[in-house]
Amino acid sequence: MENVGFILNGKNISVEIDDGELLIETLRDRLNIKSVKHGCGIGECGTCTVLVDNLPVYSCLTLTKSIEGKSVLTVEGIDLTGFKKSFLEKGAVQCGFCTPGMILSAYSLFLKNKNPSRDEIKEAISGNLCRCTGYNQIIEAIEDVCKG
Amino acid sequence: MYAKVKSKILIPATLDELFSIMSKISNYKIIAGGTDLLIKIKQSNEKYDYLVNILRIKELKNLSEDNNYIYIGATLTFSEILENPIINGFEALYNALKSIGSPQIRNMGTIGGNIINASPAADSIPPLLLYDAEVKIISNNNSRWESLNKKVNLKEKEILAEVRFKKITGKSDYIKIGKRKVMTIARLNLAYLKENNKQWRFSSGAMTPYPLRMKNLENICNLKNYSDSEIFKAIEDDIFSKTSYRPSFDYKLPVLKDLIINILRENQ
Repeated sequence: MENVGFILNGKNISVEIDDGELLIETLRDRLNIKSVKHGCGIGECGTCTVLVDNLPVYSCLTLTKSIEGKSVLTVEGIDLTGFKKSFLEKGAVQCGFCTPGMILSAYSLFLKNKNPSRDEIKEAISGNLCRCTGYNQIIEAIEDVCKG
Repeated sequence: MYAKVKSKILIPATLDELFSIMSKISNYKIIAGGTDLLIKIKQSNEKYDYLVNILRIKELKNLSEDNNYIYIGATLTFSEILENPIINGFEALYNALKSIGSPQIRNMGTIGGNIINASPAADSIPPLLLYDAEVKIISNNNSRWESLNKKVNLKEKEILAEVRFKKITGKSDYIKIGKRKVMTIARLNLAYLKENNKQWRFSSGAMTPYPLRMKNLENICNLKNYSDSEIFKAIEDDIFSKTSYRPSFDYKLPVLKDLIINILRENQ
């Protein structure tokens, strides 16, 4: 076991981990961040997406030790008011398993681009699979969040 | 439920520290973005006592140019390279990197990892071959440049430090045939460059065990006159110099031939 320190949702934390631990394990099992879902485990489905230094990455392929000193953001750390309203209104949530990852990918896009085009939204969520909605509702919901 | 990674993780901050670590340990693997390696470790019995993460080593994150070359540090992520205006004008490379995986994969995966993993379908290699790319291989007391035309084979205690390619101008592009638009591994890929808008260069991926500069094809289409059948024969000569016939070629060869003929016609 050893200690690793990083910023989780704006707060400095230090947590004891196993050496080869993956970020998804640390977040879910040690820090009780359950919004981060375990899907494929091989970087294809995107449901384990978190932001590291504001960029989306797959936490199932990120060694916790490698994020020492960096900033990690999950949906627990962002204001969800606009997302909740738009995702509900547009029917962008069915089973909900992909939703936290989708929101984080969209949030990362907004940090760089306040008024993204539909294509830019599609591109931003292209690493997040949804098997329920067919994506249109999600894209529309993200467009709505931008409009406010 | 999770596939565990059991190795000890070492994260050197400098090259000196890295080589000092490498001289003391065995059964280790160098790891950068981990988007290929961690999947292999999770899915197979590849077991290493140590994973040496080289992402914090600044010397490996250089992106620069001189009169002849662009230099790209091995651990730069695809996103970091794409954001840098230095690769503007090298469309084949830009489009190839842009086609990799997803935003998440591009934020994690590195160009050095793509080269060392050396998948037949590696997106970065065909465009780099167009520009006569070379890789810099370093060890504690040595460094050398090697052509990327052959698969990079690191010896004991060596690492890939950077890749450089010639600043050859001219129209270029990268074409990837996959099962879907994003998050896909190329079934077939093709990069081309018309050097100074005169001399053709071509390279293919996912046809041969390692991506291939298509020299026979280049020789034919740089002649003043050639026929379609000469082009087709040259393509086959290139491909079959490195592999025998494969069942997938029933599909891939006609597609490759059509792509090349179309590129030649559109850019006469």
